[in-house]
Amino acid sequence: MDDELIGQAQSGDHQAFRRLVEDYTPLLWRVAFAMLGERMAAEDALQEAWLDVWRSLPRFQRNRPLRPWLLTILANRCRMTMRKRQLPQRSIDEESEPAADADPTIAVADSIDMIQILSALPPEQKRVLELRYFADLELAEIAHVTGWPLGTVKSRMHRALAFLREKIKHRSVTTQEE
Amino acid sequence: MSENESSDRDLEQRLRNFYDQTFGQPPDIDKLWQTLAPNLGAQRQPSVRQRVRKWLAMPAKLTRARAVVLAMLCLILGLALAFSPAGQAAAHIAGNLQPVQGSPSTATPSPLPADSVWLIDPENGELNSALLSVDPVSGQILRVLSTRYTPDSVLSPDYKRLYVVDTYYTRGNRGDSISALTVYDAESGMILHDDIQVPERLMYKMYPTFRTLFISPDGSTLYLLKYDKNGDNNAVRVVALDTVRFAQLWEVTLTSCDTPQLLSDNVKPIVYAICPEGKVVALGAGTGLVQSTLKIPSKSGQSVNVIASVENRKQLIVATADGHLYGLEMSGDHQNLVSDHSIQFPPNTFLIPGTTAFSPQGNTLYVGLRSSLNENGASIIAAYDIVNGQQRWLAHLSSGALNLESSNDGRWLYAVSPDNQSLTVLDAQTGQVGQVVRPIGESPARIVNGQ
Repeated sequence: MDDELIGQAQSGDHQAFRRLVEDYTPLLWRVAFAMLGERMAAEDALQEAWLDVWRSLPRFQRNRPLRPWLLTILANRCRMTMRKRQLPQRSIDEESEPAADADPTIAVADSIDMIQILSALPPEQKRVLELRYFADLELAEIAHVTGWPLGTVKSRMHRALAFLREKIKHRSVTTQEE
Repeated sequence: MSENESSDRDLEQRLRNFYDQTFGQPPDIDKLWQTLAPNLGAQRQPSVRQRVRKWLAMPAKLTRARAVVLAMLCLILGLALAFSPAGQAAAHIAGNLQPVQGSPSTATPSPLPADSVWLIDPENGELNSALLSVDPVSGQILRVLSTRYTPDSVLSPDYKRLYVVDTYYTRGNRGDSISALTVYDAESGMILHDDIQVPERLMYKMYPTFRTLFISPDGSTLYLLKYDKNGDNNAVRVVALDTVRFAQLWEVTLTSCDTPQLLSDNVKPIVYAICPEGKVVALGAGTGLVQSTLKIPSKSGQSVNVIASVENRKQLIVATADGHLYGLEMSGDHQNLVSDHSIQFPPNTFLIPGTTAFSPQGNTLYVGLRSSLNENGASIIAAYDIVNGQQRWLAHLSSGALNLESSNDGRWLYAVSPDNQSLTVLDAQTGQVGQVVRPIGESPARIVNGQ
């Protein structure tokens, strides 16, 4: 199906390209949001990425899978957006420690709880969780879009989940005691 | 299912629900398409196959374009016949066939659709800037790479990699400044290496009127200019980095030399640092050790102002603002000034030191001149033969120029102007002004090359 659409889009068919945009925008937007953490920036990056895709389509080899190619183009756009905002980049070897436990004053809803727990995670671990559970990427794909080695992605995922489990368990015990 | 597995799945589901509720839904496709659709027509460069298909599908009437293409096909067939034994006689009769002029080649050839040129657009010295890839034939911007403060760039000699240095601040326009090297795939625009720290790199003000990043002819070594450690404004450090691990190979401080141009000898393992003040230093390419130094004599008694230099396999050619072309031979402890030709710049014109270039073969010097002190950039380009210093041609530019660069095959000369946001293409043999592409970006100020 993709193959046929790609072929048509390669020859300049706008409708075929629109179908690709429809099919892949949810995925790409989620990835952009997870990487940039801001809706406007994610939408801008998404638009730029689709224009990059359109420009590059004639050179795309149809025997290659489309999804990783799209993810690569989007990840590149997201990196450029991050660079544009002059966000400090972290080295892949520089593992941050979890921040000190936030002291919740209000914990009335599950989502508020979750926001507070997640805010205590280092940004790299938070990004891995978002790419996995919001954008639904495989671990190998997360490694691909972030540029981190697969082993690093796995360890960050493991540490993040362990941290969450611990915090949730701690909170449920505290709630029961109260 | 164990209790742990069940708890993990619960946690994963909880995360999914949380993100879905908190982050919201993707944008509306119709709205997204309304933004994308108007840009699609202008963005796509049709492939050769598509152009041929479209051409074949045209109505059968003989258009002018068809006539030209048919003529070219006949020419190719004719040439093929000429090289076959049976066609020798026919080729003889055909006489002198003139070469057909094609579209401009480029200073940055193979990446992207062939004829593209990379431009540095510092966006008038803003914190955010860009590198633009432009097709000088169609005038289309093919790719935009986001860069930060005072970017500088060089292409690898095979034109496959684009090295970019720029600077950013950790908190918007405040905080610590971080200078970094980024490596792009020049064809796809993908980032290959990011955030390689290059502290204390030399920065320019507003426009890149001098270069700070150079590369060796084999592409294995990058040379980067950095500020002097003691804060001496008349000194600069040259740092060599390998292009695999980006480890520092050596560093040398050049005194009485603020913005040198670096040139690699095509034969010997020597890097020449040509200082605007007229000092030429030969450095060992592998060690950075100073091998010899030569001071260009001042004929006028004033300080020498080197405006351009090139290594043309025989000699190092240096042009100075007082109208001299010097040929230098330097190696080891041996240095000689072997030739000196005068150049006559047009009367009542003023040189613009950064607006100069040599042809790739090193036999023509191109100089940007202005006719009044009030002009920004050059309004006149002059070409000189380096063998005898004679003027070859003079061209007047309506769109001005702050930087010149020759195409890699020497057929075209490109000129960019940040004030007029333009790229001008000139015929390097005649000086005839061809395509003027404008507006391009905010303030395109320099053409990236592969040296």
